[in-house]
Amino acid sequence: MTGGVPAADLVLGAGLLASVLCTVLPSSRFAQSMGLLGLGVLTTLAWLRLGSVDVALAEAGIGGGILAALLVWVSVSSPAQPSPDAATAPRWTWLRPVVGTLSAITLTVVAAAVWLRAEQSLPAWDAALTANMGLTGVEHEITGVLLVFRFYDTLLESAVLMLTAVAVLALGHGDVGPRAGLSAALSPAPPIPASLHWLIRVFAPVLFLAGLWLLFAGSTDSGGAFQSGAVLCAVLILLHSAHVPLGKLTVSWLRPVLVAGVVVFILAALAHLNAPFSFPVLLTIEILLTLGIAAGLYAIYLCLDNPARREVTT
Amino acid sequence: MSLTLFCLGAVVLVPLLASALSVLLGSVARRVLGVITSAAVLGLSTPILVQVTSGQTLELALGGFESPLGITLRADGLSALFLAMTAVVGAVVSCYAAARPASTGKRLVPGTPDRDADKQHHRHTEPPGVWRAGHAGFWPLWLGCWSGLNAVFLSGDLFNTYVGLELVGLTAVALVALGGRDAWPAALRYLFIAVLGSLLFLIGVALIYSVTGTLDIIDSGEIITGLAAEDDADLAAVVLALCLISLGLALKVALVPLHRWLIPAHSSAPSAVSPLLSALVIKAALFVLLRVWLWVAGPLPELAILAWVLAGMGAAAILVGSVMALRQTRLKPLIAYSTVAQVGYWFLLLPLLLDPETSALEGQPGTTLDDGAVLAGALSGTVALALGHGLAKASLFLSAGHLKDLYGTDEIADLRGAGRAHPMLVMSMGLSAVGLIGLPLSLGFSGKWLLATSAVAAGHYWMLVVLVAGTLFSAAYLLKAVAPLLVMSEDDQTELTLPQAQTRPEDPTLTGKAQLAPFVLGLLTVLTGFLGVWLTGVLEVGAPW
Amino acid sequence: MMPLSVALGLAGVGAIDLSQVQWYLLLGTAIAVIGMVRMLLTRDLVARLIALNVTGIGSLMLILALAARTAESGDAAGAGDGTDPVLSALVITGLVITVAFTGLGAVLIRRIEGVQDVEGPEDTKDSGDAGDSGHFNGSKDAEAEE
Repeated sequence: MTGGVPAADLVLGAGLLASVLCTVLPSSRFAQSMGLLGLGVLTTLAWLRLGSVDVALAEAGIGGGILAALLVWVSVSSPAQPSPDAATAPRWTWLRPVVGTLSAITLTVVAAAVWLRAEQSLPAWDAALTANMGLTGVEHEITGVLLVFRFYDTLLESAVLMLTAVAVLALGHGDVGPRAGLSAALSPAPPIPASLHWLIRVFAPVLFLAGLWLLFAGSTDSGGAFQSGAVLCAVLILLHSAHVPLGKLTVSWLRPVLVAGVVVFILAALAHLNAPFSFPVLLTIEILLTLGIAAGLYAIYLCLDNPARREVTT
Repeated sequence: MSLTLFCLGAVVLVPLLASALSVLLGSVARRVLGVITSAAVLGLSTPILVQVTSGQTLELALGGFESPLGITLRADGLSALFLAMTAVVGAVVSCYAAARPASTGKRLVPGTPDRDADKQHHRHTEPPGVWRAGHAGFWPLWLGCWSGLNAVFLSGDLFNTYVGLELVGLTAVALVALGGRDAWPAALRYLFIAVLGSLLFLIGVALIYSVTGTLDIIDSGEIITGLAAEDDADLAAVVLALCLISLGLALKVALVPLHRWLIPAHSSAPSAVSPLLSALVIKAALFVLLRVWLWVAGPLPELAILAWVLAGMGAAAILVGSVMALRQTRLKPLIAYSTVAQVGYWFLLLPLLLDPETSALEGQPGTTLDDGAVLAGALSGTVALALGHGLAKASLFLSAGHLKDLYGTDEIADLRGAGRAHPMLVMSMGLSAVGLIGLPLSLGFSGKWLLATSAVAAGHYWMLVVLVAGTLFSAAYLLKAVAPLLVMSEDDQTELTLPQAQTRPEDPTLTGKAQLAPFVLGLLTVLTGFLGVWLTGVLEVGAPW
Repeated sequence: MMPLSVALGLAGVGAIDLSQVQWYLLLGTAIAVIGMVRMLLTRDLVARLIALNVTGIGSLMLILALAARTAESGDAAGAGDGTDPVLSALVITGLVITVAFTGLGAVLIRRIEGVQDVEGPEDTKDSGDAGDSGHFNGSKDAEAEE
């Protein structure tokens, strides 16, 4: 072991803890979600310090970007819990924080003591990984793991995302048909300042190109379907809030795009249960998966809007 | 690649494919696809069960990459049994849901309701939506859940198990949410519990990985056994990992005192969903728990305290669940509390696994026990109880949900005498009650018998007390649930006081036929009772001892 | 609590000769535990969801710290591209799953808190399906009995 923690990590760690507390302690929802946004940024830095550009990109795109934006959106649109829980407030208001602090410290110390003492063995797959990389047709190891060696995890995970989108769509109006659950796509987004309009319209194509670059860079360098899908979803969200008329397009294409990636992935997996994918198959899967991820995240964003009184007549 | 190995992959991927495709279909097509998929999964599970029963563990290295690098699908006795039970219950419940779309939840449709016209006078604005019975979103979610269950049962990799559990958890939460506005808070609560449980499991997996350097279940088990054999072994990390994993999974199985989320979630879910949640979804977490305790950790003496704590919680679950079930006045919460009580049985075997007395007794001359016979008996007893619970609880929840949908209430007092109008439903409730109580001939009886004999063999007499008390309690609360429905005639003309049917059935013949589903499951509960010995044999395939 | 935790962390660094990986293991544990405790103690739904995400970040940090061991044991500590690709891939998987759950949770919270938007005002007790309106109240009663 080289010993000693680099000063940059010490500072970053302190910053991380501080932003965790800024996220956890305030009672206002807005402050909490902004804290999470800050935590996302610092976490991205931590991933970079730990040497993983891919995870940093995923965190910045999906975790810090889309997710924190969704939560900020939620906390702005419903700033407080409507139910009058205050009536049933516990008698000892000081008890909870005290118990919380004490148990947090105890648990951390115990768990950390075990972690630090544990004799660790290094991963058993290093040799196998380098030996098999040639079979994959991709040069980047993480992409190789995600789409070739452990493709089954990725398949189930993209199914989780697809079914999340299906679930949130099921919480809207109607149950089948292209319009079901998508009333928000057809209704105009809340108005934004005019100055933002052109800014968004300039930024969106740039972001779109960045998303494509992340997708195709994935085979040789950091990047891949998830990072790229998050960026493409951000493009869609920006366009929607800039009142670009995407409604018709969304209604007719969201569902097919959502499932296409998973369907092709499953068919490919059934055909290649005990043999690796060939590169063209891999590329097709990755492109469709990216679009599916973008569609899934966009569906979650759209469904955050309650199917309220602005139902569009057919 | 042999056909059986193909089935191993396909049994996970085919329902997932159907789930994805059904998103694009209309509601009738979804029902048809659901039934076809059920048949396909039954067909794909059969060769796996047959092959495993013949004594062969099936392994498929996905993509051709062997275990430290790739993911292995593995079917041993434990997997095959859970897979088969899921296929049977899943197929029957799918047929029920296809025959009675109204049982799949409530959907919100835009527009003004015509039948609510009388209420319009006190509405100031146009209502943006009204509730209608039936939600076709059930199909993609349930088929995805089925795929996730099969993925968990067949996974040979710890991280992949986590992903499978998440697939099951997410779809289960969404299925609860189909119950409409009243089910949403329960679904959200379930979501928090499910994610917290998964994260605890994930941290435990990371700990195990940091000690063993592999994620494969069999490999990591071997490495941990090797570590334990060393003199100065420091297994604190493994113990902490097992604590975290057990806590996380206990949250997902709803072991007392972590059970409170289950009652609202299972009782407010739609009629076709509650049986799936209670019979199958919590079994996924139970399966992983057995896997980790028996295959990964092995009999480490350091785990004794944890095993006793969990068994104590199990005994408490039987007590608390039963008492609470006795206090319920409505069918679905009563059945949900009965699940809480039954969960307790599955944790009783843990001290048997680790107790040195087990092996000491085997070592004594004159005992006829083979190596691991106590363990095998305890495990097959537990598995028999879990499988029997799956069949019986699915039947019970289907019948209760059916009555609730018909009469708009599941208050036991209001349903007095329902047996006359629905003999088949109440008979299936009776059959599943036989299974849950553990009366002779049922699978529950075999389970309790196997568990009790191995407990006696290992000198754990306390378990007999728990088993007997649990049996008496379950008889009490199930009688409380079923007996009033059987009342035939009384001086107060009970059948006239049955509440008027709330919803007009969409298709009376299909609704009538749907009652066959709980009946079939109830019959299976009782008929599978003689399988106890066979179960023990199947579980020997790929067993860790 | 914040200065305390930081002081605890720094004291730990001083006392034991921590490596970079161990430092992040420690941080990950602390973040996960803080998130978990907050999640169990708060009643506000959004606060719970956010605390859930904090827990998720903490547990993923544990895994990524383990991934960095390869780099640390190989060459000098610090940023390099020697991070274990398998574990990095697992972290990306975990991240996406956390996002999926958070998304579903956020939509559920919006629906629960916006019931009036969803199905119109004054539609509380005697809604269309009278039989089912007892649902949630009933389950609340069941809990209250404990």
